[in-house]
Amino acid sequence: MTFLEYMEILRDAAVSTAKGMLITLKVFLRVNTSGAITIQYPENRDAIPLGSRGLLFNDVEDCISCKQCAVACPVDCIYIEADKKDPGATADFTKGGVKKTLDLKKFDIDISLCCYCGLCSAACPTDCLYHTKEYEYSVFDRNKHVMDYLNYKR
Amino acid sequence: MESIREHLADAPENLKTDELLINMGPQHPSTHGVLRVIIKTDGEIVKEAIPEVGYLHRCFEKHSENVDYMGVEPYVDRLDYLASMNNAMGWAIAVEKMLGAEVPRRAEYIRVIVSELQRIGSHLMAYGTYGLDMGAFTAFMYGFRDREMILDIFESLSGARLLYNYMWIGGVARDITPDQVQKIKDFVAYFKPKIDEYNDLVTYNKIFIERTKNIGILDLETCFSYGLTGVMLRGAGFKWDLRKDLPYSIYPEVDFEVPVASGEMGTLGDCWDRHIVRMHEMKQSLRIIEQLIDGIPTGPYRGKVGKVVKPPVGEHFSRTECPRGELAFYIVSDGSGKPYRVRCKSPCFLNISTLDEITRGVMVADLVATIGSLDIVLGEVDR
Repeated sequence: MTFLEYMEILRDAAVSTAKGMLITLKVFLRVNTSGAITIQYPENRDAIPLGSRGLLFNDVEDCISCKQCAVACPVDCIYIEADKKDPGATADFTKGGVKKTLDLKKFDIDISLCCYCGLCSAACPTDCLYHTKEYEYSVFDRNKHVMDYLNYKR
Repeated sequence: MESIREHLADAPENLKTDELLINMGPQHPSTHGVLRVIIKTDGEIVKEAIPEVGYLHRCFEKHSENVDYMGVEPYVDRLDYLASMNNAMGWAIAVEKMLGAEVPRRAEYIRVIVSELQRIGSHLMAYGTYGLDMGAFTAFMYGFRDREMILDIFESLSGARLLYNYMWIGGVARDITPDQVQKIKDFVAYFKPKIDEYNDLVTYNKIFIERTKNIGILDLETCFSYGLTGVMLRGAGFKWDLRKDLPYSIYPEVDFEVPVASGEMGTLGDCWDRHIVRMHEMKQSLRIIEQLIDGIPTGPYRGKVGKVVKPPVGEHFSRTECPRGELAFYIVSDGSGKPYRVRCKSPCFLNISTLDEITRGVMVADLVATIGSLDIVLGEVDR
């Protein structure tokens, strides 16, 4: 490499870097006038779009204990126990008018295993199991991630 | 004083040159995940670089045998987590071919638009992290800024930001709304001039060129012997793209070019060539989206596929073009609701396999440049 070639590389480096710096300068000026794109998270939050898949919620009033969600779940984190209803008991219906033939005894979801794929809520025939927009639910005890929807307190 | 002189006099004999074994990774920012490279160095020169993979092994293939065909979808998303949509499309196409299921036109349009958007997102990540490897932090931030817009579109479309579970067998999980179509149009209009800007910022920067040209040269023979596909192959000057050569979905109906590197800055098949192919591919992806976005046909967004997917007995092999190469699925069905055997051929594993061959005799810093240009995702390497 001759001295001249070396100087040419230096010149090219300076010119192309200046070109890049001009682009960053433009962005810098735009950010100063129209605000940054970054959102300071705990103080400000971005709006969560409709239908985003957050924490699962089951409305047990509407659940017919069909276990389709538990079958569809790829990680098997939905635990359902249901008994046959007493023949003498009064007929129970969901909001959609589906007769409940089973008595739901247990509906637990281990949220720490859940992969938020949405296959369970898609399989639900009465649309009682759905994803909420909630996404902040850290706890100190892992067992608290087992959601008991029959005695749901939040 | 005298002792120092004595020491200096016989210094050359005391200075021993020996090979040094260095572990790069698994916790190293420029290995793009949990990759460990065992490097045998002679001074600054790399004599041998052996990639150690397997830190992210999750038994995808074995696991698929224990869940039903729909249940594999979330796992497929986790293969190449930067291009979940493309992976899921590959799986969906493979199972649909086994079933003989027909996919509605609307679903095909949505699929192609979404997977091309994902390709841009994936290449933006590759561009950003490659800039980061070369010491250009700004490029990384710009890449993420624009990828964020794609993720926002996907979030409103599918409900998740990274692992979408959107391409279901027989169609897509949710319909696209006019609002989202407008969002995609806005993104295309916004992003089109950005690619040239990025080229000015990084690709044609002299410092970047000097660091990436003539390094990590992949010749065609190496490509073929390792079975490389995708950007690696096109970066070595071979025109091969499944979307053109073995078209699937509605790719035969769209007009686009397959960018091929020409060895503009140095030797054909070097790191810079692979980088420029990615930049050109983003432009072509935008072209595909532009052609399709206005003409999404009406109709159902998911075909008639039973609640339980049960393909007939047989085996099927299908491959699709992902941002990192050809992703292939080989599925054996025994007629039940769960696959009997699933084999996944991932492009990243082949890409990283070439590392030793193409980095012998380069500097340690150039090794980082080569790993960056291979654009591997360890989730797919290990599966």
